[in-house]
Amino acid sequence: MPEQRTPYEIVESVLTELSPEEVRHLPELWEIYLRDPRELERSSEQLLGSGVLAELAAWGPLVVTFVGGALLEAVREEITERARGVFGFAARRRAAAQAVEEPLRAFDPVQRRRIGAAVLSRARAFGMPEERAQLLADAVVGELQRLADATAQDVDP
Amino acid sequence: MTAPDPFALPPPSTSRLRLLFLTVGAGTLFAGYWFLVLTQDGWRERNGACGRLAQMAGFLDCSTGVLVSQALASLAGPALVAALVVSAYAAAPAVITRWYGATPLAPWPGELATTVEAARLTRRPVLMVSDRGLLPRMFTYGRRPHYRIMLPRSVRYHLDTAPSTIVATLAHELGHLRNRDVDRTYLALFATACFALAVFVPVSLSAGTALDLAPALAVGWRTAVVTLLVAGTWAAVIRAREHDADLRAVQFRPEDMNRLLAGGRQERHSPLRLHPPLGDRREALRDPARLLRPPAGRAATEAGAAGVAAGVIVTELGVMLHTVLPVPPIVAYWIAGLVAAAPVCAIVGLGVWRGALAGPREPVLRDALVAGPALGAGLLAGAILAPRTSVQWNRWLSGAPDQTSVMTPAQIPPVTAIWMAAVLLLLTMAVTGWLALAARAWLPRSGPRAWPYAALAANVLFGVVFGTWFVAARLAAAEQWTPTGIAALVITPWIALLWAVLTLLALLCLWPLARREPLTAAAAAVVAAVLLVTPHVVPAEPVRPASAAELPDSTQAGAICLGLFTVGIAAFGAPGDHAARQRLGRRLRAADDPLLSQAGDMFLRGASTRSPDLAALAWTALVRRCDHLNRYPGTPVPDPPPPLPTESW
Repeated sequence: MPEQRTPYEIVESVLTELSPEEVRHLPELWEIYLRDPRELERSSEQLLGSGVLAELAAWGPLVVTFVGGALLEAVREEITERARGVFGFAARRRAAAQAVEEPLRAFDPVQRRRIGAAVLSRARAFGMPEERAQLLADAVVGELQRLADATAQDVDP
Repeated sequence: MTAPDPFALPPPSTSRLRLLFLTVGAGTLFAGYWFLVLTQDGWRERNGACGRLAQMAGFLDCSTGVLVSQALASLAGPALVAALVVSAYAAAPAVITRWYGATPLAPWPGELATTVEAARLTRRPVLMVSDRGLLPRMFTYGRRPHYRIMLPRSVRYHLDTAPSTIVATLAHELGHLRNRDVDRTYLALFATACFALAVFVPVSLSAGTALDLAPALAVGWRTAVVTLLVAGTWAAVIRAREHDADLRAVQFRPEDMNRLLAGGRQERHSPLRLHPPLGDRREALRDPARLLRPPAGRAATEAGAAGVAAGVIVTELGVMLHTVLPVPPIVAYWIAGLVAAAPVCAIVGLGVWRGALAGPREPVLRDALVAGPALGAGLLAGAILAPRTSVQWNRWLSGAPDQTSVMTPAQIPPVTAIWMAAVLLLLTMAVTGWLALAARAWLPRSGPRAWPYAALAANVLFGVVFGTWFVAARLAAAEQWTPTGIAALVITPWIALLWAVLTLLALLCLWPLARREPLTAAAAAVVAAVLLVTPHVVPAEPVRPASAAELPDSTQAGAICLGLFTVGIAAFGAPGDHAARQRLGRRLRAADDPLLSQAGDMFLRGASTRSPDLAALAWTALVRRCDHLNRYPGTPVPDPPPPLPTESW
């Protein structure tokens, strides 16, 4: 049986690699993220608030949002693709709900690069320093590579 | 030398808020009048009943009662918006708590508790935790004195990983509580939203259906501009309070605040910027006195914007007070001017005084002399922008009485308009210049404690200038007066006396300058002397715009009224010309309309007793009766060409 991991588990692995001491907060951060996945993308002025986007030195919200977001997007696309031709809207809605629990299959190299690029572009759009954004993208691509390697070992006796 | 305290004088957000409320009040006053009078056919039935009365006294009482009721009915607009604002304000805390699924934070983590204690608030706020929020964003809400601060759900995570950020953000919100600006912020927000939803949208839509395209557009764009003015003032209120909150926060969490602003990024702002640029905020923390010195040009811009709002307020409020209050028109307009002058003075005057407080080398007088004309130009624009002056209502709405029609300064003859604009700009410049000199005279002796007295004095000066000028503008627009004619009509001996007293008192207030800055004091004395002499160079008797003209020699009420609308005030003759009034009385006495005939009797009695009051009352009776005959059932009179005669001016 090949190894299968959910997007949450991948996020957990990436956060463990980048900042292990934050992992204990991950369940709550993940729950907050799922409630409002686009929070970090909304950089426009908030009517109620200080008007300052504080610099995020920690990794938790960034990993959850950018890695989780890119992975969930990839899974969602795949689920929607499988259900294509039935009811597009319903399929997309079901896919959004399923994506959280859906185990990830091993991504091919092109898909891994695409996910890495998506993480990088979201991190840059948020205003993360280039170095940290690259670190985050490398971490997720590395984790997906490890998942692919493990799956290949399980399939290939 | 110690750095000036930026909190020594009232914060600018308070005065902007007052201006916002007054502008909303003025706009809603028009909306009330639009929906309850103009679109209700001018209360045709009640007016018709007045017109059927046989006696002139009864007719005048009845029609005056209708006009007063109509003016008072327009108060329903502000009352409705006030009710909506207060309801929204009362419901907001519960709605926000429910919307964010918030619950009280318990127990408080140590860093949060110490930060709240450090803010030294008279009453501790309740810290609420939202059911969302990955980022360390917070905001204050609640009602006095039960304030709350909404924390993100991830607050414990951030306290664990970046406590400084959470502490600084909390300190900023506590700064808002220290400045007591939470209630003001929400009231301003709801007033702006209610104005847009309950005034701008309905009035624009209603005008589109009730009027032809051109007048509907005239109403629509003016209402839109006033709405933008309200929104801009609201954004200015919100922006100004952020600096003050930063300054408060830095008093008890300096390192955290500096770190937050140094490392943070600016949120992407919309055209209506709600927060000051981050660079400005950092600079303000580094040098708080900087907040007392607005950059070059901002003082003039603020003065211009305040002037626009004041122009709208005086126009709308002046019409209402003139109708309702049993006082001469100029007194009604002074009251309107005083009401509008209070926030204007608190914005323009406070700006001047804050600049003076920043240091003796600041170019306060220069800035004040620039802000003055900007304020005057804003007033001119506001008088044109007021929705009440959009169109001549009695030309487009058959039931709208003449009293409704308010001419704009744009209808003043060009030469008179140029003179009047110049006078307004010079007078506003004189008052702002006086404010700057008063700051130089009093601040070294009494410090910021002197501000309330200076504000009161400037309020009176501005109020008299605004009120007098707007009365003159209405006259000039309605009757094509020459500049000297207007001056002679407005500056009566009593007003000249008041003018002299105010000028001398203002000059006396600058006495401390006489020893310290004798040249400046001498210059102020010269300006005062010019102001004192000016009323005495205008002619004693107003020069009529046209030579006395007579009404047509006819007994038909329709022909007489058409003649009145054609010749206008010239039919009244010069103030002392009792012979003209006698001729007018004889002609009216023979009219086939009993009320016009009684107006003729009044003219004759006024001429025989040489009573200007009776003559003015007879003129009011004549104009109002002709208006009734035209608007309401009776002998129809063709639509008059502008300008229209006004009553009792």
